Amino acid sequence: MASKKATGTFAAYQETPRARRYLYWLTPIIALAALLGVMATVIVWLDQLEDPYLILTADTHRTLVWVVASLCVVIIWSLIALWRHTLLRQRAEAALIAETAFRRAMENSMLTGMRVLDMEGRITYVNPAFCRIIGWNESDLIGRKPPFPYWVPGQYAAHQRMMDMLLAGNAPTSGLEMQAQRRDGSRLTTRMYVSPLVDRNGVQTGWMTSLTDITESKRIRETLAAAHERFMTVLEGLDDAISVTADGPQGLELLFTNKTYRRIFGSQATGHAQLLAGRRGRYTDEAVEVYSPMAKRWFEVHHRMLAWTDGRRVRLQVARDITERRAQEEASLRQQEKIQMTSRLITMGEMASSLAHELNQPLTAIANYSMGVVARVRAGEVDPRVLLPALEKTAAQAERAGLIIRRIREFVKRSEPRRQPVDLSSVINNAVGFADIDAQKRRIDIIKRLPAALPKVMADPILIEQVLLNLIKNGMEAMENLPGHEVVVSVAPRDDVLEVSVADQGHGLGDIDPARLFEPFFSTKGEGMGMGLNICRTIIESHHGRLWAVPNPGGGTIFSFTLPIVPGTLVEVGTDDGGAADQHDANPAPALLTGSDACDDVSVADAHADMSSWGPDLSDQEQESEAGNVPALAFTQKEHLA
Amino acid sequence: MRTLNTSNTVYIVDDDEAVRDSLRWLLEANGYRVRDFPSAEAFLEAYDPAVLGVLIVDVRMPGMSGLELQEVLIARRAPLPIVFITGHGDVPMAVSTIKKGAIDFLEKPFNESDLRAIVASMFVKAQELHEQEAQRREREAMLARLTSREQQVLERIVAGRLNKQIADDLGISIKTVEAHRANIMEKLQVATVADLMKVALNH
Repeated sequence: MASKKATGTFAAYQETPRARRYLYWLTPIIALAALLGVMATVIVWLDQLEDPYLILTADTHRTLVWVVASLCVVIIWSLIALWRHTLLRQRAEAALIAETAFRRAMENSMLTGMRVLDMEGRITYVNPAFCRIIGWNESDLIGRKPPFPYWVPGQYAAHQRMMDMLLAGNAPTSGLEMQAQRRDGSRLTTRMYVSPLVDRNGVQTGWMTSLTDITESKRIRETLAAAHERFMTVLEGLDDAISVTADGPQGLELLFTNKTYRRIFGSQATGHAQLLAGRRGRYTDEAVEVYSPMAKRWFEVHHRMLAWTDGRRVRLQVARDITERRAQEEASLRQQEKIQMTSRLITMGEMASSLAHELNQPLTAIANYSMGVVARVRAGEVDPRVLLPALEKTAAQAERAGLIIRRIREFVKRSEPRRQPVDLSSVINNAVGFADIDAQKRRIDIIKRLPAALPKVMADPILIEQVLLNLIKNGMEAMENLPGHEVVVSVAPRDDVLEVSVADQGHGLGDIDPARLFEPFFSTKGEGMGMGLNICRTIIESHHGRLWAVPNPGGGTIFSFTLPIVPGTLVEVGTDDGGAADQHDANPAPALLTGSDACDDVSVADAHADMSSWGPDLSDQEQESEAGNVPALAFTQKEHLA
Repeated sequence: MRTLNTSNTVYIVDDDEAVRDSLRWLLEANGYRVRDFPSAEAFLEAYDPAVLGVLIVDVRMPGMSGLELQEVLIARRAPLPIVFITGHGDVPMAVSTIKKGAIDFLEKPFNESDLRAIVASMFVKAQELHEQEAQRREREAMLARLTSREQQVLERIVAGRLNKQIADDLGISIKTVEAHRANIMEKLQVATVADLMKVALNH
């Protein structure tokens, strides 16, 4: 209320035109002039009277009345003018009081400390805020010259320097930061702004300083700065190249980079753009591997959209140099491919060697028969009953040779892995046919247990054949010097897969973790390389199948794998073709010719009959290897199935 | 064309039936008497060392191999020349088998003239072996007829000692030594010391 009233008075005072107020001094002069005028008129009038004694005549009386009346008028007017003047002054005073009170209140309610120094540096004024901030009473400060009580002990020199600068008028407009110590000994940090104090005549009478406590904000700022510094240290120390860009009108605008980024790509957005690999606008959280031709390195790149400090949508890119890792991965991949390739080549080389060797058998027989016939005919012995059987046998042997050559060609052709619908029974027959050669030497029976009809599976027959052969050979090797003499190969449909199992009666897994069996270079065999099962599993997994081992309840181990069924293909399985029994039957018989896929089956049957007669030569070869003729082959022969 | 000679038996041991059968056919056309066996074991069961013959055997077979068969025959002193059949000859094995007395190698597929030449030379060798074996047996039979004292004397004669020395060694008179010596010459059916030495050393 009071302030409002004061403000009202002040405003009323302000309303009076300034020009009119300048004329107020005329009022007493006019009054004086009027009085003097009246007095002069009276004096002049009295001089003119011949009557030295003022005899009240009617005329005189009238004149006196006029004089008195004039004087009264002058006095009344003067009084009125005085009254008005007094009124005016009263208002001005009230306005002044209100103004002063307002100023004082303002000063008191201000949070900024105010201090006035005179030209010698003496404190002439402080406001309560200043006292509050600085922690000293007004009485401690007013009239003091430097050193001031709030100066921090031990820093007087610095304080004095600042004071000199201030008094010389060189204080920066951005303010001075000053340490101070309160009466209670606590310290604070202040910021001071200095301006010259100029009186109404334009003469500088001192210095006005305003002061704020920046202790808290400084602490916060310092904390923030420290946090920022830590953050930056981490970012800068990261081996990942971090960059932030925004899509500007002139392409990418680089907003932030860390040291690694700058080291690799410099301070340009080119690196970022390269690693973006044209994926602008499409971001997924998964990492992308990108090659940067600029850095000639591979990076694993993550992108994320962020809201930048100015509210813009920006792109954060974290790129990890994976060149080494990639090189290693590639090397290991190449190594693996090489191992698989080698394994395949070993098997193929071995096979080719066997086949070539095997070719000698029919060729020898053909040569012998023909030479025998020639000899007989030369001797005049031309009885067809004698010669015909030999010629027939010759023809049969030529056919046998032809089949072997077909096998070789097939083998060469099969070096490319191809998945196709395959009749698993034919694959099993092939593999068992191969393995029978070895099995007979070891006096082991390979027993096939196939259902009456089987659906086809998606598989590369030659690879699956190798897996089976490997498992069967492993089984037989596990039965070395043990009473068991059976390896059972069985097939059973399970949902949408066929499960093939190879069960032996060997030494079993013992304490070995079945999962370890499939690790590379893990072998229980003295001379094993430990690659066989690993390759088998790789092959099966590449067929979307699974390969595992469990102990055989009857002793030994069962290895099983699955292959996906091709829906709607059911092939009857022929009765056991007796591959082992046909060991020496030189005439291939299409025993497996059943089902719709006759063509396929014929070749399988042929191949099988053909294979079953390879026995002697495979064993020949092994013995030869043992004799040390071809050490490399001997090595591979032992190792490739390990 | 050779005349069919019942003592000219060619034994064939090969596990490949086609090779075996065709070889039999070829050799029979050349007038040999052929007996074939699918395995070394079967052959050993049937083989009679008294019958003159030659052996053609595959180096590698299931069960007993050709090389093992050679070892067995050497141990038995069988007078049987051996030729090995091999797919692709290999030097170390060839050297080892030939050192042990194998005559030759036949590399599949065979060449008829080679085969004939080899088989012919094998029979010559077989004849020699048989004769040597017969002589050896004869010598052994003769040496077996000597008494232990006569054997002692013969050892010393072969060692080159004089009658007087032998008499001293054995503590008998020179006359007795001379009598033993005469008996030995008679029993071994030799006329000269040189012949005596030959018989004794060939033993």
